[in-house]
Amino acid sequence: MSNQSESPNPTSSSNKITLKTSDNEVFEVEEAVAMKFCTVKQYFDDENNNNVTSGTSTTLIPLPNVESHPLAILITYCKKHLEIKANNADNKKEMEIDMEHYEREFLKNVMPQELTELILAANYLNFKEALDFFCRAVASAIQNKSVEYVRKFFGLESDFKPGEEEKLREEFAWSFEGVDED
Amino acid sequence: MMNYFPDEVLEHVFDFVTSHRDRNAVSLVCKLWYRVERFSRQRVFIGNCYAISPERLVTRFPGVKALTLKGKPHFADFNLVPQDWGGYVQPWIEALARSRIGLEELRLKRMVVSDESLDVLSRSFTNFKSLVLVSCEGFTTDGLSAIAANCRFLRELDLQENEIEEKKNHWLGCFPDSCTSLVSLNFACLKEINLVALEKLVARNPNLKSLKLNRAVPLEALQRILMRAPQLVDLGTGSFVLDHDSDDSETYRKLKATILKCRSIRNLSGFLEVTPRCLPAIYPICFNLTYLNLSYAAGIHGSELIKLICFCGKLQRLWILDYIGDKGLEVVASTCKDLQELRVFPSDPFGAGHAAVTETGLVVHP
Repeated sequence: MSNQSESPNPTSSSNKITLKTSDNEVFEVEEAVAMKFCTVKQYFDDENNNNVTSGTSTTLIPLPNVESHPLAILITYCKKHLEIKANNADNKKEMEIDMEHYEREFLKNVMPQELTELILAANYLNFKEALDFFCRAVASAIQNKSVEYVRKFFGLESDFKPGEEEKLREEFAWSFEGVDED
Repeated sequence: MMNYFPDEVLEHVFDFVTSHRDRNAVSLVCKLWYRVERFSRQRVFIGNCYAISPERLVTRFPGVKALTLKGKPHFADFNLVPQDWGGYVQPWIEALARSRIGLEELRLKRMVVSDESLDVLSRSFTNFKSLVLVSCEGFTTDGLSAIAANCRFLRELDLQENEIEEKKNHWLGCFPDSCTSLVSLNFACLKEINLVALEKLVARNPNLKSLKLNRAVPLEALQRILMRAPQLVDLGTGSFVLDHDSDDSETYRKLKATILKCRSIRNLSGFLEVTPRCLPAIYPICFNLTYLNLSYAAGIHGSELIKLICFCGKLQRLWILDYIGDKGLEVVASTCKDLQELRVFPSDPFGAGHAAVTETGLVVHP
């Protein structure tokens, strides 16, 4: 159990933390939200330990690998995540239902390109719930799709040598795919 | 832009890509994806054991933990494949053991499995957890003894329609006293079983969720087993038979009281032999059922069958013999509003001209 989840209503805590993105935007976020980003929490804890003697705790935390666009989305996601958690503190099932509903709606407004940005940002910030959610979203977006579709989805091109890909496809057709259920 | 994904992030995405077909697709996207997919694939499906060599499998997917391997084609079930067709699992198990693969799950269908294969299997993979054998042949209960004795973390032993030579070796008793990890046990295809060993095994495995018994397990033993395993979700009964003894009513009363406590059962199958007047004992749990498989229950017909269905309002899957008849199918339609899958099996596959179920019952008029 982490510290912030013990507070009864995490979104209303008053301490603010300032985050600065790679494109020099500054975000002021509640401590409870910022602490969900493990990278930020680590930085924050280290700073606090260093500043114990001086008594200062106001810090600006630089995030050189995160742009403002994905960070804004992650903050919104995180706030909602904490809110749903606080509202259903004693009912795990209800919480999961609410979360699922929110995530389904959330994905309707996200483009494939954004999804990859969000994954990279969530990975850098070490925000596990978001990382899992976005990775799952990507996986379900490419479910039952062709290789060509997946390449297009991610803006990738094949770098196999001529003939190489065909050979692998042939092996799949014979070996690693079900011909029939029986 | 995805090229910037560090390997571990790509691997994390692939964790959620579970179907074999989708894994195959992502591995063909580019060389990086091929490499990351290759090393992260844990579940491999091989639809024909001669389409590829075991050595190639190990090179291609060195991290494989769960392997599904199929041997003879489907029509082997109808004796249309020559005896010496092959489909031996031995070379596969040897190659996997030699390469120090961390095999945890093995699922074989229509393959020839020897006792030696099972012995090597049981000794070669420390974390081996699950063995599923479907329509396999070539082994005896000696092989099962090795699995029981040596696989210390076994969670699943599922024997479906295999041809197994049964020796008097009480293989079930070979599970050590320390075995408490079982989640699923199916021995419905065997003729015999040691009841004392079975009851002891059930008693010390609190996580057992699925249990499918054989004909050798009588009603009294079923009652004692259910007493010890009220947590079961998936139950296949063996023999559901009462003799005309004076003890009958006592046995029946006990069974009824015990079944009442089995509130977790969702899937019910078996009834390999039935005394229809015992069926009311299961009525109280019928409303919880989502899957009912009566495809082996040749002893339940007519009004008894229809009455049973009337209690099963939540069924999503129903497998049933054609004893259900057209009238019965109408009852199924009006009772089971959540039904997603219906399979009607012929009660007499070789009988000619006798149609128990016709279009009248199968075609639903909206």
